[in-house]
Amino acid sequence: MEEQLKNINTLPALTWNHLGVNRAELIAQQTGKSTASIPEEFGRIKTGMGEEAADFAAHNCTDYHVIEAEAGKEIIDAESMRYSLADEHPTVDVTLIHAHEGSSVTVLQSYTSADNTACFHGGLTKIIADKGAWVRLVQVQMLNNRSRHFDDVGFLLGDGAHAEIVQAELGGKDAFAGCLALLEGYQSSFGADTIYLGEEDRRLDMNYIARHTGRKTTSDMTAAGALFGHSDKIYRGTIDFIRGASHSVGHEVENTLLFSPEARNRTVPLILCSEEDVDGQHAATIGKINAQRLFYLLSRGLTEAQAKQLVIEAQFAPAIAKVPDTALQDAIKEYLGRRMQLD
Amino acid sequence: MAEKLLEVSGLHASVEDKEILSGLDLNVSAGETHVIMGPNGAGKSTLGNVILGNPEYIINAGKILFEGADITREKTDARARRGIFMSFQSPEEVPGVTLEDFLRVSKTAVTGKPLKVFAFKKQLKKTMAALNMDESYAQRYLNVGFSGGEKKKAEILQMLTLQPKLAILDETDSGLDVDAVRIVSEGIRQYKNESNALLIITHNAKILEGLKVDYVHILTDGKIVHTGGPELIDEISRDGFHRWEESAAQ
Ligand SMILES: Nc1ncnc2c1ncn2[C@@H]1O[C@H](COP(=O)(O)OP(=O)(O)OP(=O)(O)O)[C@@H](O)[C@H]1O
Ligand SMILES: [Mg+2]
Repeated sequence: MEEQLKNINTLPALTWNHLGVNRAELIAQQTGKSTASIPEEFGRIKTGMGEEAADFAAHNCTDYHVIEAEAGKEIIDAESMRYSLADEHPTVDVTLIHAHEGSSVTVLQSYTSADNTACFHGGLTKIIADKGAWVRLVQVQMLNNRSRHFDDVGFLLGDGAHAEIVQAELGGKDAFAGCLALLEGYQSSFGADTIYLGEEDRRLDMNYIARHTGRKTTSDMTAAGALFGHSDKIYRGTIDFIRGASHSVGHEVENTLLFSPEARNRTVPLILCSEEDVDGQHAATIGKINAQRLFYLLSRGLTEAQAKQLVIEAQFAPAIAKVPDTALQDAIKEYLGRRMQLD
Repeated sequence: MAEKLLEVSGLHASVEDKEILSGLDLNVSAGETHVIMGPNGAGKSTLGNVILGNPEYIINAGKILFEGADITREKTDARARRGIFMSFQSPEEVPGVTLEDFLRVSKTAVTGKPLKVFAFKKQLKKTMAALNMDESYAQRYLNVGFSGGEKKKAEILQMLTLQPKLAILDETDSGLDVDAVRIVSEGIRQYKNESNALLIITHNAKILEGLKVDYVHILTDGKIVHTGGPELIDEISRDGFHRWEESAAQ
Protein backbone atom coordinates (compact mmCIF):
# COMPACT_ATOMS: atom_id res chain seq x y z
CA MET A 1 0.00 0.00 0.00
CA GLU A 2 1.21 3.41 -0.87
CA GLU A 3 0.83 6.48 1.23
CA GLN A 4 1.18 9.99 -0.04
CA LEU A 5 3.13 12.36 2.18
CA LYS A 6 2.29 15.94 1.29
CA ASN A 7 4.41 18.14 3.52
CA ILE A 8 7.95 17.02 3.05
CA ASN A 9 11.13 19.07 3.31
CA THR A 10 9.18 22.22 4.03
CA LEU A 11 11.13 25.44 3.86
CA PRO A 12 11.09 27.15 7.31
CA ALA A 13 10.03 30.45 5.73
CA LEU A 14 7.90 30.05 2.67
CA THR A 15 8.81 31.79 -0.53
CA TRP A 16 7.05 32.38 -3.85
CA ASN A 17 4.95 29.37 -4.52
CA HIS A 18 5.64 29.32 -8.22
CA LEU A 19 9.28 28.48 -7.60
CA GLY A 20 8.07 25.12 -6.41
CA VAL A 21 10.60 24.88 -3.63
CA ASN A 22 8.43 25.43 -0.54
CA ARG A 23 7.80 21.76 0.04
CA ALA A 24 7.82 18.40 -1.68
CA GLU A 25 5.51 15.41 -1.85
CA LEU A 26 6.54 11.83 -1.75
CA ILE A 27 4.88 8.49 -2.18
CA ALA A 28 5.93 6.13 0.56
CA GLN A 29 5.36 2.40 0.65
CA GLN A 30 3.73 1.03 3.76
CA THR A 31 5.43 -1.96 5.26
CA GLY A 32 2.61 -3.32 7.39
CA LYS A 33 5.07 -3.55 10.24
CA SER A 34 4.61 -2.48 13.81
CA THR A 35 5.04 0.93 15.30
CA ALA A 36 8.40 1.81 16.75
CA SER A 37 8.23 3.23 20.23
CA ILE A 38 9.93 6.58 20.41
CA PRO A 39 10.93 7.36 24.00
CA GLU A 40 9.86 10.72 25.30
CA GLU A 41 13.35 12.22 25.30
CA PHE A 42 13.46 11.70 21.52
CA GLY A 43 9.85 12.72 21.01
CA ARG A 44 10.62 16.43 21.05
CA ILE A 45 13.36 16.22 18.42
CA LYS A 46 12.25 17.72 15.14
CA THR A 47 13.60 16.46 11.85
CA GLY A 48 14.55 18.04 8.55
CA MET A 49 11.90 16.33 6.45
CA GLY A 50 9.15 17.17 8.92
CA GLU A 51 6.57 15.36 11.01
CA GLU A 52 4.78 13.49 8.24
CA ALA A 53 7.95 11.68 7.19
CA ALA A 54 9.01 11.03 10.77
CA ASP A 55 5.56 9.69 11.70
CA PHE A 56 5.45 7.49 8.65
CA ALA A 57 8.82 5.99 9.57
CA ALA A 58 7.77 5.41 13.16
CA HIS A 59 4.57 3.63 12.04
CA ASN A 60 6.22 1.43 9.41
CA CYS A 61 9.41 0.51 11.16
CA THR A 62 11.07 -2.68 9.94
CA ASP A 63 14.46 -2.17 11.58
CA TYR A 64 14.86 -0.56 14.96
CA HIS A 65 18.17 0.40 16.50
CA VAL A 66 18.98 2.11 19.74
CA ILE A 67 22.53 3.20 20.43
CA GLU A 68 23.37 4.56 23.82
CA ALA A 69 26.88 5.71 24.62
CA GLU A 70 27.49 6.06 28.31
CA ALA A 71 29.32 9.09 29.63
CA GLY A 72 32.90 9.23 28.40
CA LYS A 73 32.58 6.05 26.28
CA GLU A 74 33.30 5.67 22.58
CA ILE A 75 31.13 3.75 20.14
CA ILE A 76 31.88 3.15 16.48
CA ASP A 77 29.21 1.24 14.60
CA ALA A 78 30.09 0.87 10.94
CA GLU A 79 28.58 -2.60 10.49
CA SER A 80 25.13 -3.18 11.94
CA MET A 81 23.19 -0.75 9.75
CA ARG A 82 24.10 -1.79 6.25
CA TYR A 83 20.99 -2.47 4.26
CA SER A 84 20.79 -4.33 1.00
CA LEU A 85 17.35 -3.82 -0.49
CA ALA A 86 15.09 -5.70 -2.89
CA ASP A 87 11.49 -4.97 -3.82
CA GLU A 88 9.81 -7.63 -1.71
CA HIS A 89 11.25 -6.06 1.39
CA PRO A 90 10.52 -2.37 1.72
CA THR A 91 12.78 -1.21 4.51
CA VAL A 92 12.09 1.49 7.04
CA ASP A 93 14.74 1.87 9.68
CA VAL A 94 14.38 3.89 12.83
CA THR A 95 17.56 4.64 14.75
CA LEU A 96 17.81 6.45 18.04
CA ILE A 97 21.20 7.56 19.26
CA HIS A 98 21.90 9.01 22.67
CA ALA A 99 25.45 10.20 23.26
CA HIS A 100 25.77 10.96 26.95
CA GLU A 101 28.12 13.52 28.42
CA GLY A 102 31.60 13.44 26.94
CA SER A 103 30.96 10.32 24.85
CA SER A 104 31.87 9.84 21.22
CA VAL A 105 29.72 8.07 18.64
CA THR A 106 30.29 7.28 14.97
CA VAL A 107 27.50 5.53 13.09
CA LEU A 108 27.40 4.39 9.49
CA GLN A 109 24.16 3.65 7.66
CA SER A 110 24.39 2.43 4.10
CA TYR A 111 21.72 1.54 1.56
CA THR A 112 22.37 -0.42 -1.60
CA SER A 113 20.24 -2.46 -3.98
CA ALA A 114 20.58 -6.23 -3.93
CA ASP A 115 19.29 -6.45 -7.50
CA ASN A 116 17.73 -4.18 -10.10
CA THR A 117 14.18 -4.28 -8.76
CA ALA A 118 12.48 -1.10 -7.64
CA CYS A 119 12.68 -0.90 -3.89
CA PHE A 120 11.64 1.46 -1.16
CA HIS A 121 13.63 2.75 1.76
CA GLY A 122 12.64 5.19 4.44
CA GLY A 123 14.80 6.13 7.38
CA LEU A 124 14.44 8.11 10.56
CA THR A 125 17.40 8.86 12.79
CA LYS A 126 17.20 10.96 15.93
CA ILE A 127 20.23 11.94 17.87
CA ILE A 128 20.82 13.48 21.26
CA ALA A 129 24.33 14.77 21.94
CA ASP A 130 24.67 15.69 25.60
CA LYS A 131 27.20 18.05 27.09
CA GLY A 132 30.59 17.77 25.41
CA ALA A 133 29.59 14.72 23.33
CA TRP A 134 30.88 14.18 19.79
CA VAL A 135 28.70 12.48 17.16
CA ARG A 136 29.18 11.70 13.51
CA LEU A 137 26.40 10.13 11.46
CA VAL A 138 27.36 8.92 7.99
CA GLN A 139 24.68 7.90 5.51
CA VAL A 140 25.54 6.47 2.12
CA GLN A 141 22.79 5.81 -0.41
CA MET A 142 23.68 3.99 -3.64
CA LEU A 143 20.34 2.44 -4.60
CA ASN A 144 19.54 1.54 -8.19
CA ASN A 145 17.85 3.98 -10.56
CA ARG A 146 14.36 2.59 -9.97
CA SER A 147 14.22 2.92 -6.21
CA ARG A 148 12.67 5.44 -3.87
CA HIS A 149 14.34 6.59 -0.73
CA PHE A 150 14.11 9.04 2.11
CA ASP A 151 16.32 9.77 5.04
CA ASP A 152 15.06 11.99 7.79
CA VAL A 153 17.35 13.15 10.56
CA GLY A 154 17.11 15.30 13.67
CA PHE A 155 19.79 16.35 16.15
CA LEU A 156 19.57 17.91 19.58
CA LEU A 157 22.81 19.38 20.89
CA GLY A 158 23.69 20.17 24.49
CA ASP A 159 26.41 22.46 25.85
CA GLY A 160 29.67 22.15 23.97
CA ALA A 161 28.40 19.17 21.98
CA HIS A 162 29.55 18.64 18.42
CA ALA A 163 27.52 16.71 15.89
CA GLU A 164 27.89 16.22 12.21
CA ILE A 165 26.16 14.45 9.41
CA VAL A 166 27.75 13.17 6.23
CA GLN A 167 25.26 12.24 3.55
CA ALA A 168 26.07 10.75 0.19
CA GLU A 169 22.95 10.72 -1.96
CA LEU A 170 24.26 8.94 -5.02
CA GLY A 171 21.48 6.73 -6.31
CA GLY A 172 17.76 6.09 -6.53
CA LYS A 173 14.97 7.38 -8.75
CA ASP A 174 13.55 9.67 -6.10
CA ALA A 175 15.78 10.56 -3.19
CA PHE A 176 14.75 12.77 -0.30
CA ALA A 177 16.95 13.83 2.55
CA GLY A 178 16.38 16.21 5.38
CA CYS A 179 18.20 17.13 8.53
CA LEU A 180 17.42 19.53 11.32
CA ALA A 181 19.93 20.34 14.03
CA LEU A 182 18.78 22.19 17.10
CA LEU A 183 21.79 23.92 18.60
CA GLU A 184 20.45 24.42 22.07
CA GLY A 185 23.60 24.09 24.15
CA TYR A 186 26.06 26.88 24.77
CA GLN A 187 28.94 26.65 22.27
CA SER A 188 27.52 23.62 20.53
CA SER A 189 28.47 23.07 16.92
CA PHE A 190 27.00 21.28 13.93
CA GLY A 191 28.42 20.32 10.57
CA ALA A 192 26.75 18.88 7.48
CA ASP A 193 28.65 17.49 4.53
CA THR A 194 26.43 16.46 1.68
CA ILE A 195 27.41 15.05 -1.66
CA TYR A 196 24.89 14.21 -4.33
CA LEU A 197 24.83 12.79 -7.82
CA GLY A 198 21.95 13.44 -10.20
CA GLU A 199 21.63 11.40 -13.35
CA GLU A 200 19.02 10.29 -15.86
CA ASP A 201 15.67 11.39 -14.43
CA ARG A 202 16.60 11.21 -10.76
CA ARG A 203 14.87 13.64 -8.45
CA LEU A 204 16.84 14.84 -5.45
CA ASP A 205 15.13 16.85 -2.78
CA MET A 206 17.06 18.03 0.25
CA ASN A 207 16.29 20.18 3.24
CA TYR A 208 18.86 21.18 5.86
CA ILE A 209 18.15 23.36 8.81
CA ALA A 210 20.56 24.55 11.48
CA ARG A 211 18.47 26.13 14.20
CA HIS A 212 20.53 28.15 16.64
CA THR A 213 18.97 28.84 20.03
CA GLY A 214 22.06 28.59 22.27
CA ARG A 215 24.70 31.27 22.61
CA LYS A 216 27.97 31.04 20.71
CA THR A 217 26.78 28.18 18.57
CA THR A 218 28.30 27.31 15.19
CA SER A 219 26.95 25.61 12.11
CA ASP A 220 28.71 24.77 8.90
CA MET A 221 26.87 23.16 6.02
CA THR A 222 28.58 22.13 2.82
CA ALA A 223 27.05 20.49 -0.21
CA ALA A 224 28.79 19.38 -3.37
CA GLY A 225 27.09 17.69 -6.26
CA ALA A 226 27.15 16.79 -9.89
CA LEU A 227 24.13 16.76 -12.18
CA PHE A 228 23.81 14.76 -15.38
CA GLY A 229 21.01 13.87 -17.75
CA HIS A 230 17.54 15.13 -16.89
CA SER A 231 18.09 15.04 -13.16
CA ASP A 232 16.25 17.53 -11.00
CA LYS A 233 17.67 18.74 -7.72
CA ILE A 234 16.51 21.05 -4.97
CA TYR A 235 18.79 21.89 -2.10
CA ARG A 236 17.38 23.97 0.73
CA GLY A 237 19.78 25.17 3.36
CA THR A 238 18.51 27.27 6.23
CA ILE A 239 20.41 28.87 9.04
CA ASP A 240 17.87 29.94 11.61
CA PHE A 241 19.10 32.24 14.36
CA ILE A 242 16.51 32.36 17.14
CA ARG A 243 16.45 35.20 19.65
CA GLY A 244 19.01 34.46 22.34
CA ALA A 245 21.53 32.80 20.03
CA SER A 246 23.89 35.73 20.34
CA HIS A 247 27.44 35.47 19.04
CA SER A 248 26.51 32.53 16.88
CA VAL A 249 27.93 31.85 13.46
CA GLY A 250 26.49 29.91 10.54
CA HIS A 251 27.92 29.18 7.12
CA GLU A 252 26.59 27.30 4.17
CA VAL A 253 28.24 26.57 0.85
CA GLU A 254 27.04 24.64 -2.15
CA ASN A 255 29.10 23.71 -5.19
CA THR A 256 27.26 22.17 -8.08
CA LEU A 257 28.82 20.78 -11.22
CA LEU A 258 26.40 20.90 -14.10
CA PHE A 259 27.20 18.40 -16.80
CA SER A 260 23.96 18.59 -18.69
CA PRO A 261 21.95 21.52 -20.00
CA GLU A 262 18.80 19.48 -19.37
CA ALA A 263 19.48 19.03 -15.68
CA ARG A 264 17.52 21.24 -13.32
CA ASN A 265 19.39 22.80 -10.44
CA ARG A 266 17.63 24.73 -7.72
CA THR A 267 19.27 26.04 -4.59
CA VAL A 268 17.46 27.83 -1.79
CA PRO A 269 19.80 29.32 0.77
CA LEU A 270 17.97 30.97 3.64
CA ILE A 271 19.27 32.87 6.62
CA LEU A 272 16.66 33.79 9.22
CA CYS A 273 17.58 36.16 12.03
CA SER A 274 15.42 36.96 14.99
CA GLU A 275 18.65 37.61 16.89
CA GLU A 276 20.81 40.48 15.71
CA ASP A 277 24.18 39.66 17.13
CA VAL A 278 24.96 36.79 14.73
CA ASP A 279 26.96 36.10 11.61
CA GLY A 280 25.38 34.11 8.82
CA GLN A 281 26.83 33.56 5.37
CA HIS A 282 26.03 31.57 2.32
CA ALA A 283 27.74 31.00 -1.00
CA ALA A 284 26.88 28.93 -4.01
CA THR A 285 28.85 28.20 -7.13
CA ILE A 286 27.57 26.49 -10.20
CA GLY A 287 30.37 25.14 -12.33
CA LYS A 288 29.74 24.06 -15.83
CA ILE A 289 32.61 21.76 -16.44
CA ASN A 290 33.75 24.04 -19.14
CA ALA A 291 34.86 22.72 -22.48
CA GLN A 292 38.30 24.26 -22.22
CA ARG A 293 39.05 22.61 -18.87
CA LEU A 294 37.83 19.29 -20.18
CA PHE A 295 40.06 19.67 -23.24
CA TYR A 296 43.01 20.40 -20.97
CA LEU A 297 42.44 17.20 -19.00
CA LEU A 298 41.91 15.12 -22.15
CA SER A 299 45.10 16.54 -23.65
CA ARG A 300 46.95 14.75 -20.86
CA GLY A 301 45.59 11.40 -21.91
CA LEU A 302 42.58 11.09 -19.60
CA THR A 303 39.42 9.75 -21.19
CA GLU A 304 36.34 11.90 -20.87
CA ALA A 305 34.98 9.57 -18.19
CA GLN A 306 38.23 9.74 -16.24
CA ALA A 307 38.35 13.51 -16.50
CA LYS A 308 34.80 13.89 -15.19
CA GLN A 309 35.45 11.40 -12.45
CA LEU A 310 38.57 13.27 -11.41
CA VAL A 311 36.74 16.56 -11.16
CA ILE A 312 33.81 15.06 -9.27
CA GLU A 313 35.95 13.04 -6.89
CA ALA A 314 37.88 16.17 -6.09
CA GLN A 315 34.62 17.80 -5.00
CA PHE A 316 33.49 14.74 -3.10
CA ALA A 317 36.80 13.84 -1.48
CA PRO A 318 36.33 15.62 1.87
CA ALA A 319 32.98 13.91 2.47
CA ILE A 320 34.14 10.48 1.27
CA ALA A 321 37.13 10.71 3.61
CA LYS A 322 34.69 10.79 6.54
CA VAL A 323 33.12 7.42 5.70
CA PRO A 324 34.37 5.19 8.52
CA ASP A 325 35.28 2.22 6.34
CA THR A 326 37.94 2.32 3.64
CA ALA A 327 36.36 -0.53 1.70
CA LEU A 328 33.15 1.47 1.43
CA GLN A 329 35.13 4.57 0.46
CA ASP A 330 36.60 2.57 -2.41
CA ALA A 331 33.18 1.20 -3.31
CA ILE A 332 31.86 4.76 -3.58
CA LYS A 333 34.70 5.78 -5.87
CA GLU A 334 34.19 2.68 -7.97
CA TYR A 335 30.46 3.39 -8.14
CA LEU A 336 31.16 6.95 -9.31
CA GLY A 337 33.64 5.62 -11.86
CA ARG A 338 31.02 3.24 -13.25
CA ARG A 339 28.42 6.00 -13.49
CA MET A 340 30.84 8.20 -15.42
CA GLN A 341 31.42 5.41 -17.94
CA LEU A 342 27.69 5.43 -18.66
CA ASP A 343 27.37 9.15 -19.32
CA MET B 1 66.04 9.46 -43.06
CA ALA B 2 64.53 10.42 -39.73
CA GLU B 3 61.17 8.99 -38.90
CA LYS B 4 58.24 11.24 -39.73
CA LEU B 5 56.23 12.21 -36.66
CA LEU B 6 53.74 14.85 -37.69
CA GLU B 7 52.41 15.52 -41.17
CA VAL B 8 49.86 18.27 -41.60
CA SER B 9 48.61 18.87 -45.10
CA GLY B 10 46.13 21.32 -46.61
CA LEU B 11 44.58 21.99 -43.22
CA HIS B 12 41.55 24.26 -43.08
CA ALA B 13 39.98 24.83 -39.68
CA SER B 14 37.33 27.20 -38.41
CA VAL B 15 35.61 28.26 -35.24
CA GLU B 16 32.09 29.68 -35.20
CA ASP B 17 32.05 29.73 -39.02
CA LYS B 18 35.19 31.82 -39.16
CA GLU B 19 38.10 30.23 -40.98
CA ILE B 20 41.32 30.49 -38.98
CA LEU B 21 43.63 27.99 -40.62
CA SER B 22 43.47 28.17 -44.37
CA GLY B 23 45.59 25.58 -46.09
CA LEU B 24 48.37 24.86 -43.65
CA ASP B 25 51.18 22.40 -44.32
CA LEU B 26 53.76 21.29 -41.79
CA ASN B 27 56.05 18.28 -41.44
CA VAL B 28 57.97 17.41 -38.31
CA SER B 29 60.34 14.47 -38.03
CA ALA B 30 61.84 12.82 -34.99
CA GLY B 31 64.85 14.65 -33.61
CA GLU B 32 63.83 18.03 -34.98
CA THR B 33 63.09 21.35 -33.34
CA HIS B 34 60.65 23.61 -35.16
CA VAL B 35 59.80 27.18 -34.28
CA ILE B 36 56.62 28.91 -35.31
CA MET B 37 56.46 32.66 -35.26
CA GLY B 38 53.70 34.93 -36.39
CA PRO B 39 51.69 37.97 -35.44
CA ASN B 40 48.97 37.92 -32.78
CA GLY B 41 45.83 36.27 -34.00
CA ALA B 42 47.58 34.52 -36.89
CA GLY B 43 46.35 31.09 -35.78
CA LYS B 44 49.36 29.67 -33.92
CA SER B 45 47.47 28.52 -30.83
CA THR B 46 44.69 27.30 -33.07
CA LEU B 47 47.17 25.06 -34.85
CA GLY B 48 48.26 23.56 -31.51
CA ASN B 49 44.64 23.03 -30.51
CA VAL B 50 43.77 21.40 -33.82
CA ILE B 51 46.77 19.07 -33.70
CA LEU B 52 45.44 17.93 -30.32
CA GLY B 53 41.85 17.71 -31.55
CA ASN B 54 40.13 20.43 -29.55
CA PRO B 55 36.46 19.90 -30.52
CA GLU B 56 35.84 23.64 -30.52
CA TYR B 57 37.57 23.83 -33.88
CA ILE B 58 36.03 22.31 -36.96
CA ILE B 59 38.30 20.82 -39.58
CA ASN B 60 36.93 21.63 -43.01
CA ALA B 61 39.66 20.11 -45.14
CA GLY B 62 43.08 18.56 -44.89
CA LYS B 63 44.74 15.84 -42.92
CA ILE B 64 46.83 15.30 -39.83
CA LEU B 65 49.01 12.22 -39.64
CA PHE B 66 51.03 11.13 -36.64
CA GLU B 67 53.62 8.42 -37.16
CA GLY B 68 51.82 7.63 -40.38
CA ALA B 69 48.39 7.15 -38.78
CA ASP B 70 45.55 9.44 -39.77
CA ILE B 71 44.46 11.17 -36.57
CA THR B 72 42.40 13.95 -38.19
CA ARG B 73 39.20 12.71 -36.54
CA GLU B 74 40.68 11.09 -33.48
CA LYS B 75 39.74 12.13 -29.96
CA THR B 76 42.06 14.30 -27.92
CA ASP B 77 42.88 11.71 -25.29
CA ALA B 78 43.82 9.14 -27.92
CA ARG B 79 46.20 11.64 -29.50
CA ALA B 80 47.74 12.34 -26.11
CA ARG B 81 48.27 8.63 -25.61
CA ARG B 82 50.05 8.49 -28.96
CA GLY B 83 52.55 10.94 -27.49
CA ILE B 84 51.38 14.41 -28.47
CA PHE B 85 51.58 17.07 -25.76
CA MET B 86 50.91 20.76 -25.62
CA SER B 87 52.08 23.26 -23.06
CA PHE B 88 49.11 25.63 -23.04
CA GLN B 89 49.35 29.34 -23.61
CA SER B 90 46.79 29.74 -20.79
CA PRO B 91 46.75 26.59 -18.64
CA GLU B 92 43.44 25.76 -16.97
CA GLU B 93 42.95 25.75 -13.21
CA VAL B 94 41.57 22.52 -11.77
CA PRO B 95 40.37 22.99 -8.18
CA GLY B 96 40.35 19.91 -5.97
CA VAL B 97 42.98 17.98 -7.93
CA THR B 98 46.54 18.28 -6.69
CA LEU B 99 49.39 18.68 -9.14
CA GLU B 100 50.91 15.41 -7.99
CA ASP B 101 47.68 13.45 -8.29
CA PHE B 102 47.10 14.87 -11.72
CA LEU B 103 50.57 13.93 -12.88
CA ARG B 104 50.03 10.46 -11.53
CA VAL B 105 46.70 9.98 -13.30
CA SER B 106 47.96 11.37 -16.59
CA LYS B 107 51.21 9.42 -16.47
CA THR B 108 49.21 6.23 -15.96
CA ALA B 109 46.86 7.25 -18.77
CA VAL B 110 49.55 7.91 -21.37
CA THR B 111 51.69 4.89 -20.52
CA GLY B 112 48.74 2.56 -20.03
CA LYS B 113 50.71 0.84 -17.28
CA PRO B 114 50.31 0.89 -13.53
CA LEU B 115 52.58 3.42 -11.92
CA LYS B 116 55.58 2.52 -9.80
CA VAL B 117 54.72 4.94 -7.06
CA PHE B 118 58.07 5.14 -5.33
CA ALA B 119 60.07 5.73 -8.49
CA PHE B 120 57.47 8.24 -9.64
CA LYS B 121 57.72 10.27 -6.45
CA LYS B 122 61.48 10.26 -6.56
CA GLN B 123 61.54 11.41 -10.17
CA LEU B 124 58.94 14.09 -9.48
CA LYS B 125 61.03 15.51 -6.67
CA LYS B 126 64.06 15.62 -8.90
CA THR B 127 62.28 17.26 -11.79
CA MET B 128 60.69 19.88 -9.56
CA ALA B 129 64.07 20.69 -8.07
CA ALA B 130 65.55 21.06 -11.55
CA LEU B 131 62.77 23.50 -12.44
CA ASN B 132 63.36 25.35 -9.18
CA MET B 133 59.78 24.63 -8.08
CA ASP B 134 59.07 24.34 -4.40
CA GLU B 135 58.09 20.80 -3.45
CA SER B 136 54.96 22.05 -1.74
CA TYR B 137 53.49 22.83 -5.15
CA ALA B 138 52.98 19.12 -5.73
CA GLN B 139 50.26 19.20 -3.06
CA ARG B 140 48.58 22.34 -4.35
CA TYR B 141 45.56 22.22 -6.59
CA LEU B 142 46.57 22.18 -10.22
CA ASN B 143 47.32 25.73 -11.34
CA VAL B 144 44.93 27.21 -8.79
CA GLY B 145 46.42 30.47 -7.57
CA PHE B 146 49.65 29.80 -9.46
CA SER B 147 51.26 32.89 -10.90
CA GLY B 148 51.56 33.15 -14.67
CA GLY B 149 55.15 31.97 -14.55
CA GLU B 150 54.39 29.14 -12.11
CA LYS B 151 51.72 27.83 -14.44
CA LYS B 152 54.21 27.69 -17.29
CA LYS B 153 56.69 25.83 -15.11
CA ALA B 154 53.96 23.38 -14.15
CA GLU B 155 53.35 22.79 -17.86
CA ILE B 156 57.00 21.96 -18.42
CA LEU B 157 56.92 19.72 -15.35
CA GLN B 158 54.07 17.85 -17.02
CA MET B 159 56.01 17.59 -20.26
CA LEU B 160 59.06 16.22 -18.49
CA THR B 161 56.91 13.75 -16.56
CA LEU B 162 54.91 12.52 -19.53
CA GLN B 163 57.86 12.40 -21.97
CA PRO B 164 55.80 12.88 -25.14
CA LYS B 165 57.10 12.20 -28.64
CA LEU B 166 55.96 15.59 -29.86
CA ALA B 167 55.80 18.57 -27.53
CA ILE B 168 54.05 21.71 -28.69
CA LEU B 169 55.07 24.65 -26.52
CA ASP B 170 52.66 27.53 -26.94
CA GLU B 171 54.31 30.69 -25.65
CA THR B 172 55.77 28.85 -22.70
CA ASP B 173 58.23 31.70 -22.28
CA SER B 174 55.67 34.45 -21.85
CA GLY B 175 55.19 35.33 -18.22
CA LEU B 176 58.53 33.89 -17.18
CA ASP B 177 61.16 36.09 -15.57
CA VAL B 178 64.74 36.06 -16.85
CA ASP B 179 65.92 33.33 -14.49
CA ALA B 180 62.83 31.22 -15.07
CA VAL B 181 63.31 31.36 -18.84
CA ARG B 182 66.80 30.01 -18.35
CA ILE B 183 65.61 27.22 -16.07
CA VAL B 184 62.78 26.28 -18.39
CA SER B 185 65.04 26.25 -21.47
CA GLU B 186 67.37 23.99 -19.58
CA GLY B 187 64.43 21.69 -18.86
CA ILE B 188 63.52 21.67 -22.54
CA ARG B 189 67.12 20.85 -23.47
CA GLN B 190 67.06 17.92 -21.06
CA TYR B 191 63.88 16.62 -22.63
CA LYS B 192 65.03 16.85 -26.23
CA ASN B 193 66.57 13.79 -27.84
CA GLU B 194 66.88 12.12 -31.22
CA SER B 195 63.56 10.34 -31.09
CA ASN B 196 61.28 13.20 -30.06
CA ALA B 197 60.47 16.57 -31.50
CA LEU B 198 59.61 20.11 -30.44
CA LEU B 199 57.23 22.58 -31.98
CA ILE B 200 57.84 25.88 -30.25
CA ILE B 201 55.45 28.78 -30.67
CA THR B 202 57.07 31.97 -29.46
CA HIS B 203 57.35 35.71 -29.85
CA ASN B 204 60.63 35.76 -28.04
CA ALA B 205 63.97 34.33 -29.00
CA LYS B 206 65.21 33.91 -25.44
CA ILE B 207 63.70 30.51 -24.81
CA LEU B 208 65.50 29.20 -27.89
CA GLU B 209 68.95 29.96 -26.55
CA GLY B 210 70.92 26.77 -26.21
CA LEU B 211 68.48 24.82 -28.39
CA LYS B 212 69.46 23.66 -31.83
CA VAL B 213 66.66 25.01 -34.01
CA ASP B 214 66.21 23.22 -37.31
CA TYR B 215 63.35 25.16 -38.91
CA VAL B 216 61.59 28.43 -38.39
CA HIS B 217 58.12 28.84 -39.89
CA ILE B 218 56.30 32.07 -40.36
CA LEU B 219 52.59 31.73 -39.83
CA THR B 220 50.33 34.54 -40.92
CA ASP B 221 46.64 34.50 -41.77
CA GLY B 222 46.28 30.82 -41.10
CA LYS B 223 49.07 29.63 -43.37
CA ILE B 224 52.75 28.97 -43.20
CA VAL B 225 54.05 31.53 -45.64
CA HIS B 226 57.74 30.97 -45.28
CA THR B 227 60.11 28.42 -43.80
CA GLY B 228 63.77 29.03 -43.12
CA GLY B 229 66.56 28.32 -40.70
CA PRO B 230 67.39 29.85 -37.31
CA GLU B 231 68.68 32.99 -38.99
CA LEU B 232 65.03 34.01 -39.43
CA ILE B 233 64.67 34.52 -35.69
CA ASP B 234 66.97 37.51 -35.63
CA GLU B 235 65.49 38.89 -38.78
CA ILE B 236 62.01 38.84 -37.28
CA SER B 237 63.17 40.27 -33.98
CA ARG B 238 64.64 43.15 -35.96
CA ASP B 239 62.12 43.75 -38.74
CA GLY B 240 58.89 42.16 -37.53
CA PHE B 241 56.45 40.28 -39.76
CA HIS B 242 55.74 43.09 -42.14
CA ARG B 243 57.49 41.55 -45.09
CA TRP B 244 55.66 38.24 -44.77
CA GLU B 245 52.28 39.76 -44.19
CA GLU B 246 52.66 41.79 -47.37
CA SER B 247 53.78 38.84 -49.40
CA ALA B 248 50.83 36.86 -48.07
CA ALA B 249 48.49 39.59 -49.18
CA GLN B 250 49.85 39.62 -52.70
N1 LIG C 1 37.61 29.52 -29.53
C1 LIG C 1 37.61 30.59 -30.34
N2 LIG C 1 36.49 31.29 -30.53
C2 LIG C 1 36.48 32.39 -31.32
N3 LIG C 1 37.56 32.84 -31.97
C3 LIG C 1 38.70 32.18 -31.81
C4 LIG C 1 38.80 31.03 -30.99
N4 LIG C 1 40.06 30.59 -31.02
C5 LIG C 1 40.73 31.43 -31.83
N5 LIG C 1 39.92 32.38 -32.31
C6 LIG C 1 40.30 33.46 -33.22
O1 LIG C 1 41.16 32.93 -34.19
C7 LIG C 1 42.24 33.78 -34.45
C8 LIG C 1 43.55 33.08 -34.19
O2 LIG C 1 43.70 32.87 -32.78
P1 LIG C 1 44.96 32.16 -32.16
O3 LIG C 1 44.73 32.09 -30.70
O4 LIG C 1 45.21 30.90 -32.86
O5 LIG C 1 46.10 33.21 -32.48
P2 LIG C 1 47.64 33.18 -32.11
O6 LIG C 1 48.38 33.15 -33.37
O7 LIG C 1 47.91 32.10 -31.15
O8 LIG C 1 47.81 34.61 -31.41
P3 LIG C 1 48.69 35.05 -30.14
O9 LIG C 1 50.05 35.33 -30.66
O10 LIG C 1 48.03 36.30 -29.71
O11 LIG C 1 48.64 33.99 -29.13
C9 LIG C 1 42.02 35.00 -33.60
O12 LIG C 1 41.39 35.98 -34.36
C10 LIG C 1 41.12 34.52 -32.52
O13 LIG C 1 40.30 35.55 -32.02
MG1 LIG D 1 48.41 32.04 -29.19
